[in-house]
Amino acid sequence: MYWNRLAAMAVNDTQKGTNHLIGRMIARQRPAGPAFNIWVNDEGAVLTSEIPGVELQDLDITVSGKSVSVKGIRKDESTEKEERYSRKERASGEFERIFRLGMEIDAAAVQARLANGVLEIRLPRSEKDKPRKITVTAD
Amino acid sequence: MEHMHNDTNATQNTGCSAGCGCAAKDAEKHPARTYLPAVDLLHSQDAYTLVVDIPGVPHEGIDLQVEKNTLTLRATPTEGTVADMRLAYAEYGVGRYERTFTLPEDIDRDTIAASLKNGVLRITLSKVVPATKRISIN
Repeated sequence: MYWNRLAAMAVNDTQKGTNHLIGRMIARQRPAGPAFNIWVNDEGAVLTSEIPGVELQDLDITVSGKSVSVKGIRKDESTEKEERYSRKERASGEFERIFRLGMEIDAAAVQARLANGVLEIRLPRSEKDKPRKITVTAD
Repeated sequence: MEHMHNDTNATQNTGCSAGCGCAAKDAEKHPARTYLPAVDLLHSQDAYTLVVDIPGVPHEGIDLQVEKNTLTLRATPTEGTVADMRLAYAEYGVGRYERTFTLPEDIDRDTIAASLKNGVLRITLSKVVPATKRISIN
């Protein structure tokens, strides 16, 4: 039963860049950076993340072996005009999150999509890493 | 001085903080949760700007209403699940966003404008120029 779960293989999240973020993410002791969900099946994994306000050109996704790194910057709103903050709940700054999956990723086939502030990274499992069915033959 | 009163009690955040372990269950079993979106409030000489994080919400999912001095935002995101896959690890849940704001007196309610970009809603609230009226003394 237990070994049938892929959950155990999915996550090993190493953190970096703790000091870059301010706001509620740290206040609630969340990981330093945007929140991620990880979806899996035998064919691969999908990482989704809520990153409202992050521009496409400010994202940097690196895949190597079993590791996925997502780097980005969320800029402050107050760069224009003579606007001042009365209240600030939204975190901003640089972030980097690294995930180590329990499967080899086919780096050439990775696809990422950003829609309405939600990032979706599709990570197909490499062919040689996929489970193989073994046929048992009788004598 | 904060002119805009932020009515946080009006909408309770029913979602647990991420990382407590139940977010995984939430995302799979309770897609109908309501979340309190994070908000920045900026002010300038002639306007206030509310900046609201509503990731996953398309244009048509936004419902913004003004009634008297209350501004209500309700936003419905598109589904947060991935087809044919199991959620193995979760730090956030996907659900509706709801938040109400009590507007100060000096807002021009007829010119409230909003724009959506990259999951961030910007609501611009212009201040009214106070009309001075001279009272003649007989």
